[in-house]
Amino acid sequence: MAELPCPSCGAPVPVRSAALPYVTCAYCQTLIRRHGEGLEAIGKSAVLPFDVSPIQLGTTGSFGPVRFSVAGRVRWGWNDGSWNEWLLDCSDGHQRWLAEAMGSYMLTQEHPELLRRSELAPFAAGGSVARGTSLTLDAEEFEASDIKTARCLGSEGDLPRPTPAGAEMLSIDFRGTNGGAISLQRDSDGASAWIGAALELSQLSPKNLRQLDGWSIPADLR
Amino acid sequence: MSAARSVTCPNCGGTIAVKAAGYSVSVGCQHCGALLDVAHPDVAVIEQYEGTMRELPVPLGRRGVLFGTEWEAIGALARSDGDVDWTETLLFNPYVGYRWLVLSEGEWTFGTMLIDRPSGSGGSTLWRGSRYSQDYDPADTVTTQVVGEFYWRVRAGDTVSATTYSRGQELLSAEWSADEVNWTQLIPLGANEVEQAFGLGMPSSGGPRPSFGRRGLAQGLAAPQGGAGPADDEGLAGKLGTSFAQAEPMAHSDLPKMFGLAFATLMLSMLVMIGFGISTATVRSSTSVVVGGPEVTVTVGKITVGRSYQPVTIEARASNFNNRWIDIDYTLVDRATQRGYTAYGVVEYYTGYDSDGAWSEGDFRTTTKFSGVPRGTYDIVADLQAHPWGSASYSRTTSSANAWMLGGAGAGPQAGDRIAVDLIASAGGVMWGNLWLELAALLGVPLLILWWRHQNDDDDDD
Repeated sequence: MAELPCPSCGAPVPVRSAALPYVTCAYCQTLIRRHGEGLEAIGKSAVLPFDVSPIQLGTTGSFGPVRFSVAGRVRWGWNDGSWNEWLLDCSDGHQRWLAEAMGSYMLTQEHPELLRRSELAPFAAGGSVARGTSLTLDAEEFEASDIKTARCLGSEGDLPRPTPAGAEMLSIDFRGTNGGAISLQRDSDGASAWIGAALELSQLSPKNLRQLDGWSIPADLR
Repeated sequence: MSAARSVTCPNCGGTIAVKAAGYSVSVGCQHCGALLDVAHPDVAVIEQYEGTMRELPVPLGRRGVLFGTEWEAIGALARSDGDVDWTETLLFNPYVGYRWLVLSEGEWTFGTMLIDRPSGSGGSTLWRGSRYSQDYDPADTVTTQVVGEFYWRVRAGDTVSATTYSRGQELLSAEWSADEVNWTQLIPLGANEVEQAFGLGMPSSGGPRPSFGRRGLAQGLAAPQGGAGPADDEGLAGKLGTSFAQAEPMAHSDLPKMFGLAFATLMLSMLVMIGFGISTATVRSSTSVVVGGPEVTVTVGKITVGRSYQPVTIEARASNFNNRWIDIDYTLVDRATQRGYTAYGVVEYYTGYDSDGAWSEGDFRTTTKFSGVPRGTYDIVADLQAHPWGSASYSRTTSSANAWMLGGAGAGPQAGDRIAVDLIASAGGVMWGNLWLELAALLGVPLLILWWRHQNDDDDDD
């Protein structure tokens, strides 16, 4: 893999997909943007606090015919805790996020057309929606169950958009009757809508999970 | 040994290993009972209790395998709906997530939180194509006690409305507050299954007296060195003697070879152990702890583990005492990552009289080993607490608000005297325990043969 020196500390920074122009330097946590043949420092991330996430950069897996590899992570914190958003670089060319909170997972893909739904008009217009707001999508009933403002705690690896430490985001989660999930997010770059499903880690047939001291990786996750 | 984030309780100074680092938000301190906020790097006290907690249905830190997955008990709640009091133990595996182990009126159930939502309400609900019927009208459920770590903001006094729906033996529990609804599937488990999985209610080696210390014997990670080997078991020796008597064609000339081979193996093992685990440094510290008094935290020193995985040995030597025990929680905190490794030791000595006359049990010293510590520089921190053994410390309160014996720590007529403790830690170090075991294994058979022959010779002489 090609490497370029970090503009801040000079450590080698791997150059991966052009679709992921932002990268966090693994040594000094400088947030870097790739442009053309060069690298530009645009901000600062932070050292991620130790957590027991079983996922790491380079973890691979699949769902249906789609294979993925974990390319980056953003960690978000709010009043009552924190969670990880893992960026999946997928074999069908799409980027998806795997949200990981409290040992449960939600896999989502961006669906901009969802923002045109009348139920979500207040959100699209720059406001929020009330908890309990309901929405029917593909015959599944969704309900807004979790609304919070989060701050970026740090990042690692490759990312599609810049998320320096301290960046704020409004995050709204809907849960569906059949395990479906909708996630609405708004940060300084604007609003986005994501559709997916809650799932167990084993449903992604993961490989190359992180080895955590004192634990053995279950057979079906190896 | 296990990956964990180490935090220091701002209330009592005790070291707490947060097992589900990154997920856990609230911690009920095991040492002093204070409820802590660990969602952020600065740990804050939310609520204080006086005293310590004990007598959990599953000791925190204990691991067990249920449904093919290894779980660690990391938190426990005491809850009540006014009629019934029960406990819920939070189980965790970083690769699988959380489960619940509920113990209510002697019955165990295993709980899995649903990621989908059952539909319909009132008299019945529909989940994954099956209908479950409501068991009782919603009732207020109050959390009365909290210990260990949790992934949400929990505190004693939390109240939710709850009901259950059942279909045969399977239950769906619904709990809702102003903010959220949680559904949990509950499956019945046999008491034997749970007790075997988590090693509960196993008789300890000491006989009829209660098991001493906060965690009992099988603490899992790095247990204190075990006691006597199997060598002095007459029954076993007798049986082996018989079987060797039947295995007749064992030439006399084999014995020297067996001894020779055993010693050669032993010397080689020592060389290997010394080669790979040679002591790089020894640090020591002295402290004293008041019986029945507050927990004492002492930094034993800094130690460097130079090889990729090396043992770390800590010996505790106490001054003379009687009918006391000292719980010692050791934490190795990696200076670079702040990652903590925990182990437990107990120094205990008791004397008394029973129908057989005077007895004594225990030792003034104990050795605790971390068997494989990754390369790095560590601060060794020890939390010590000395307890009197006697009725005062075991007086049981029955009010539900005090279900886990949140008794005053300073009370009791035997409290007050001070015990000096020296702590000596070294990285590397030959695993003498393993060597003794190996010695027993290597020399056991030839020695038995010798003994058996000697017996036979005696018989011949008669």
